[in-house]
Amino acid sequence: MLFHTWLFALFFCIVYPVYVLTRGTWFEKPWLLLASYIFYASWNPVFLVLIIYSTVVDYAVVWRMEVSPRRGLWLALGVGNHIFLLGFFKYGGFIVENFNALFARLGLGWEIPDPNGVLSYVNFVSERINHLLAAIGIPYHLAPQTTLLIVGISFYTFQSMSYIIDCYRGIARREKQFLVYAAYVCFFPQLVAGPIERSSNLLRQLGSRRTITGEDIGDGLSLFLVGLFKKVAMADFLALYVDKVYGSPAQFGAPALILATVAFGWQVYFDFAGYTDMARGIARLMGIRLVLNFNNPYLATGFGDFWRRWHISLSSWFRDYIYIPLGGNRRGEVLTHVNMAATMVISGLWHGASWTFVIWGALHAAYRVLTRNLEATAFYRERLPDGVKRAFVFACVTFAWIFFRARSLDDAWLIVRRIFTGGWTDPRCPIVIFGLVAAVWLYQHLYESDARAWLRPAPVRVAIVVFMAVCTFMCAQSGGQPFIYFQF
Amino acid sequence: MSASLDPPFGSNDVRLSLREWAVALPLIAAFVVFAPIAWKAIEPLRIEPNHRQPFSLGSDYWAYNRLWHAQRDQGTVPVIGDSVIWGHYVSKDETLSACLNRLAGRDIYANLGVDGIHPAAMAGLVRYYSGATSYGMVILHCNLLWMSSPRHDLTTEKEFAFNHPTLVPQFSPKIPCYRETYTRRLDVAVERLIPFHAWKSHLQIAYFGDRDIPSWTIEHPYSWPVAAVALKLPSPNEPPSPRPDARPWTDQGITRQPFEWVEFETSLQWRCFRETVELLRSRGNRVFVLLGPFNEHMLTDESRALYAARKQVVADWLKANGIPHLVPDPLPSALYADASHPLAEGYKLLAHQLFDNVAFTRFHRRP
Repeated sequence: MLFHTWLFALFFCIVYPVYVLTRGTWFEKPWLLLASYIFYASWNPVFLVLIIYSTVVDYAVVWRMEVSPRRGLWLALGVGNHIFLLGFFKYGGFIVENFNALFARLGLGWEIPDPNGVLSYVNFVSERINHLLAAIGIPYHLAPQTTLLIVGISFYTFQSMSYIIDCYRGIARREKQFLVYAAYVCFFPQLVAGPIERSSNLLRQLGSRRTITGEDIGDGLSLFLVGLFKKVAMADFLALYVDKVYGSPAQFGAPALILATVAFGWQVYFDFAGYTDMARGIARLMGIRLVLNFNNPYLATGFGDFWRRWHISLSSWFRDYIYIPLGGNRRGEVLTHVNMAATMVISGLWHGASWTFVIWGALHAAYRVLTRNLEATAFYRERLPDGVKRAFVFACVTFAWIFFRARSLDDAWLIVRRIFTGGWTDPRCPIVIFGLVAAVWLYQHLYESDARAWLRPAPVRVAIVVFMAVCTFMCAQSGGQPFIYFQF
Repeated sequence: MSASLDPPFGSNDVRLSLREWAVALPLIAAFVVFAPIAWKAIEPLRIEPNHRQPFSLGSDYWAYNRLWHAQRDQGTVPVIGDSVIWGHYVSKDETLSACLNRLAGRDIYANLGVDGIHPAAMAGLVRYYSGATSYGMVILHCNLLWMSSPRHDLTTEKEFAFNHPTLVPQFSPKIPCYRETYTRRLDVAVERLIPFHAWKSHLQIAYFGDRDIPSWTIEHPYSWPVAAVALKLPSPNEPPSPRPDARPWTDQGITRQPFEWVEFETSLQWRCFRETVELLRSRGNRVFVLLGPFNEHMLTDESRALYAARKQVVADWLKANGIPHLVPDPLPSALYADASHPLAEGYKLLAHQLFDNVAFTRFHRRP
């Protein structure tokens, strides 16, 4: 159930009035939980088993952690459970494939069974559900699952782990009401693609009585429209060109491959930031404030700055639960760089079980390590124009996107090779979409400059909203295109 | 360390208060509501004698709706049906409505046929994209070809791509061969209620090669989409693509066929045809039904007997419901191009049969 479909509109039109009317009553939490579970089940009801299991285990683990003297054991159990779930459902195929390839190369004759074998059980259950739905006349058909990767698993496991670790550290208090905790794990606006919320923000709000003000409604609508524009008018538009070029990179010359890579950089930003904005808008309409996840990342003047602006909830998660526990920058220059690199590589792997993501993470690690000292110099901070720094960061980040987007490592190398050797042919890149991207980029520049005051008058903001709405209506393609980050 | 207790709003100033939304929303709504209306003043629609929907606008329901209203304003009687009425093998001046107009001596009948439309889609077309009629009169064609096999009837279980899927019922009655996702069905069901969507589809079909604007720009990367909107609609004279072979069916090497007629009790198309009649009548129209003429020469003996039985069922139902109708005599074999489409001479004969029919004459006389 994608936010930009009529199905979601219908779902929200049912959920929202009941939510508003029952706020503060005993029915609020069960209703929110039911809505969230229905939302999640719209992908595949079988997956509900996993999220409910995860919620129950975490609730029990934190409860035991509070009363048991062996708190570390319970922490290990809780975190280990999530790592196992991620390892099996997200990385199982990748790990097994690589080990089997290694065994074959060593001539050991061993073979680990493919975890995707579990799919036959999942599809068996899905088929039974289909029969049941057909028998009661519901025209809904669950498509067979082709991959073990469960939608949203990377997001809700990380959110749950942060809660367990924060409780262990004494930063967060145990949520005693199971329904409140369950609603925190699967709060539908941010369930499948974040932002990854800490208990100090979302759980606190869910556990307390909320009012929905006029400001919430206005902000919620604003955020939702901005997100819808980013997704429907920008990301899906850019995707057409990116898919065309990346679908058969051998047929395109250097200009097309460069432009498609730049286009993908913007596509992935608009797609993910668009989802986040819509999620934040929906939550805000419900009186709940989710964290800011993207802050104009392509205006970053350094790689540290980039990661403070890109997928903020994930990068802060890695900072708090990987980088700092590894020692952060407290153990000397070399170890700081090692910690930084390790965190970036793990961050790359978080995005997907593939060597292309590992290389993407490694490239960012290299950028960060190589420029950390440079960024600290007075020359870089004061003498180098921001435009040059932004262009440099953008170029490096864009280069890394090649590995993120390519279908395989072979394709990625082919694209890199052809960018330098592929010849200068007509890229046939639509000027309209690059005009729109340029308009957004200019807006972001103005927003972060002294000219921000120009964007503030009400007529300007209303005009921008109307323009975005018209663009969204006119550019909408038939059927909602899925979000890129759903695959993570 | 942990997230802020008061998350910042966003990374832009696109933030409206409720009062500002009270200004923005009406402006957006005005665009959605008035753009299709204003477009009628911008884009000229020239109704030619014996006008018909241009072939390439066959699935442009907004243009169809506009044509319907334009014809009503000209005081004509709509003749609705599939490609038999539209005139797949003939020019716009050789169709049934054109022949009727010649016999009447003036332009009374409007060709509002749509190529490839089957009764299930016709029901949707009438429900969502047709309006009132001039004299409360409609001539509706019934082509039993659509009940000649489970595939034509859309009751086969095997999925296949059929014509005009966005006009068919999305949820009930269930169409076994229609396997769209639940989300897509809901999109279709909602969007056909919103004229803006039909208008957007019109722009796409008329000016962007039946593609959405983003997809069009991929094909025309250096063109400005606004420039593509030439405000010139295709001609009603444009022939179908691919151009049909307008020769008698026997000359095309078509042999006699054993059609596997569906049972009417379970026929989706028959059910939808009845719904169309009832819908038209519920809007205060008087409906005249033209049943056939089917190319019975093309049927095997057994199949012809089955066809006759079904034809009788339809005629009985029309009679029982007081609906004036004509079951024309089969045309000579050489006047058919295929199972149901007459050639130009066939339309002339058919128009004469209609004009000589008492029920048809009475249909025009009644208030």
